[in-house]
Amino acid sequence: MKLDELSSETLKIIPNLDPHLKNAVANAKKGDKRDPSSSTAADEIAVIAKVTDLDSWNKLNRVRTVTSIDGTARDNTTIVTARIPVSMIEAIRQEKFVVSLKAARPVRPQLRKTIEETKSREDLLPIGNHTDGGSRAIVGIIDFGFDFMHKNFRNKDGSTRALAIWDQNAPAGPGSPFGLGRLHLKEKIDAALLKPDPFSALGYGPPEEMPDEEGTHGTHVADIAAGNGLGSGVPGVAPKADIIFVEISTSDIPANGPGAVRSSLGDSVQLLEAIRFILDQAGDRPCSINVSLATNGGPHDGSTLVEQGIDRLLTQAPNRAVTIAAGNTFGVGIHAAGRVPADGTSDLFWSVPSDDSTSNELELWYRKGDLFAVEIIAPDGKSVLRAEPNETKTLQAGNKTVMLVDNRIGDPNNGDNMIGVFLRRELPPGRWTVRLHGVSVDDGRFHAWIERDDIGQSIFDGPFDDTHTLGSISCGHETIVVGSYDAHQEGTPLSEDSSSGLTRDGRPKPEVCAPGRNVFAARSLTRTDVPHVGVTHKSGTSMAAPAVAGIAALILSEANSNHRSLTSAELRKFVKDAARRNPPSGTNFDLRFGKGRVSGAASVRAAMMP
Amino acid sequence: MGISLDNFKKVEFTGTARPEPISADRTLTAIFKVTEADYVPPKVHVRARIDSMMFTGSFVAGDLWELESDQRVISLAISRPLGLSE
Repeated sequence: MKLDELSSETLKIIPNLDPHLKNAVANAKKGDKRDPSSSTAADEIAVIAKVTDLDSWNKLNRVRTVTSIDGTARDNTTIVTARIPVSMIEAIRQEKFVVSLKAARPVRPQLRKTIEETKSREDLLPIGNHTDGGSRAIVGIIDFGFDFMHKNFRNKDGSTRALAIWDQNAPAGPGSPFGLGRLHLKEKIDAALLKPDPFSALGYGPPEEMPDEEGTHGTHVADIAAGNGLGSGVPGVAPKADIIFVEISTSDIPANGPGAVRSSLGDSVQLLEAIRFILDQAGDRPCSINVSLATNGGPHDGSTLVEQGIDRLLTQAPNRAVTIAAGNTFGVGIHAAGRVPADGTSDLFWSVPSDDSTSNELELWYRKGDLFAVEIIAPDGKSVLRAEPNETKTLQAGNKTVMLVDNRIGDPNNGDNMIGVFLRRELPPGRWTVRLHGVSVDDGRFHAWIERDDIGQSIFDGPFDDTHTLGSISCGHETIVVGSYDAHQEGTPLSEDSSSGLTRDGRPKPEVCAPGRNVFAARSLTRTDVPHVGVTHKSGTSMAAPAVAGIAALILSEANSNHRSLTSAELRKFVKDAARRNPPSGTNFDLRFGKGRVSGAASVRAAMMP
Repeated sequence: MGISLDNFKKVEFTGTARPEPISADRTLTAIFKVTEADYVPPKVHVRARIDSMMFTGSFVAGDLWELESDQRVISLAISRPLGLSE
């Protein structure tokens, strides 16, 4: 076929139609016949619909309803799976009682990708292993929105697999861990599951979906690590592990300032408390915890107290693992590095978009032997502020601080120096210059990060580099940090935004990569056993880290069956040494793949060795 | 009188170089690192123990000067916001 022989044509199809259905309609209008399949007759198509009136749906001619689930969503709509004639797609979609109509998608093969590609599916694990789906381990998930009703998190008898849910958002009461939130133990969750509305009965559940989101992050993440597939049809990595979920919240975000300019779901203090809580609940049982949270700023050397705290918890006792998402900031322009010459200057260009309605924040770290002054130059070229070492300077507009520059000497945790710059949203957009002046320079090297801002991200307008883009809590010494690749594409390439090592102090992180692109896993508020309904796809290192958390649970379960204890360092070594190459090419540490693509089979094999 | 966090050398930079001072009676939560096992600074309420030298706790911002001058406090990290890695 030659391209110049092709012609374009406009087909009249109703606009608000699912693309797969639109394609079926288009083919039918061109005269193409659909072949029958094992579940559909000729010219019939399998669909999933969300309807407000089931009776009206059932009265539709030539529609074969296969399953209906009343009250699937909190809005009391009903989800149905059905077979409908292709010729009726447009008419059915336009019925007032049809809220949504989508073609059934072949998700099963895609769902399998994580457990298949990482060699962690039961039949791919070494012969003679005793992982038993991670049954001896606990998987802890610290995240947002756990749908404990989803069948992937329930046993065959309908009881919950969750040992506990700690909702940090709830008002405190008697028995609240550390005086914070509300604790729901297994007995209480099971009792709620017997009620007509378990979410109301328990006082906890995932929120309604936002218009641009299909399902909550926490349900998806938990399923990748530990779902059992009873609902969706395909299990996660450690399908028999017990689950502890912490709904993380934030305690101390200011009403103004940078904390208010980016969307945040948790904070560092309550993250550390969540890990402490899960380990306390686990007691002597092996425990693997996943953290798919991040932010950009910080020293990136593992010295923050939250990273030190996690390291301490991991080394206090054996059989513990914490996996953390590497972050998704490669190629975004949030990191810059350079060298300030003695008695010279080095410029960073910081671009604030014209439609940015939020404030912006930059954090720059350099070695303790150097001293820099910092000068801020506005987009119009005017120098507006200069702060010498150990000075904090502000720009005021009336009573309001619109710029703050903090030139700190001697961080209390690592002794290095740090410059923080805050630009309030009232300042003009454009290309700001951060000019560093060498006051006393021995080494001169620095790294700078622009803080995360999900509403309006400012970036470096050169020179920037994409190394050192790991998240701020992803640089600890004992944690396993995980990057993301695409298991669906030939050659399993890296996800384009998966963050890059090294740490600022030169350590090789991330440790490994796992599938994180278009990962199909449980979708919250779909309490169904219809495979095509109960899942959704999400992307990011958030989806890669829980695969490794599940593998860590398998390793710990295997070791436990042999009465063997593993330190966090030993477990990390198993995971790293077992990682597969090609990609990445060669044998050296790769800045984004780490040691390579994680292998459940090889990691478990290492744990089987005496 | 308001408290400016950038005045305190023992406070880990939080990523929230709050441009406006915070109220002295505002309750803050932080991770504490101390020099002496089981030491808890006066007026700090311990929430979770990490080990003998590290814990999470709450206090009011007005006590920051006292914490800054406390020789047995190495550093404290006021909560830093985190987002999803999606």
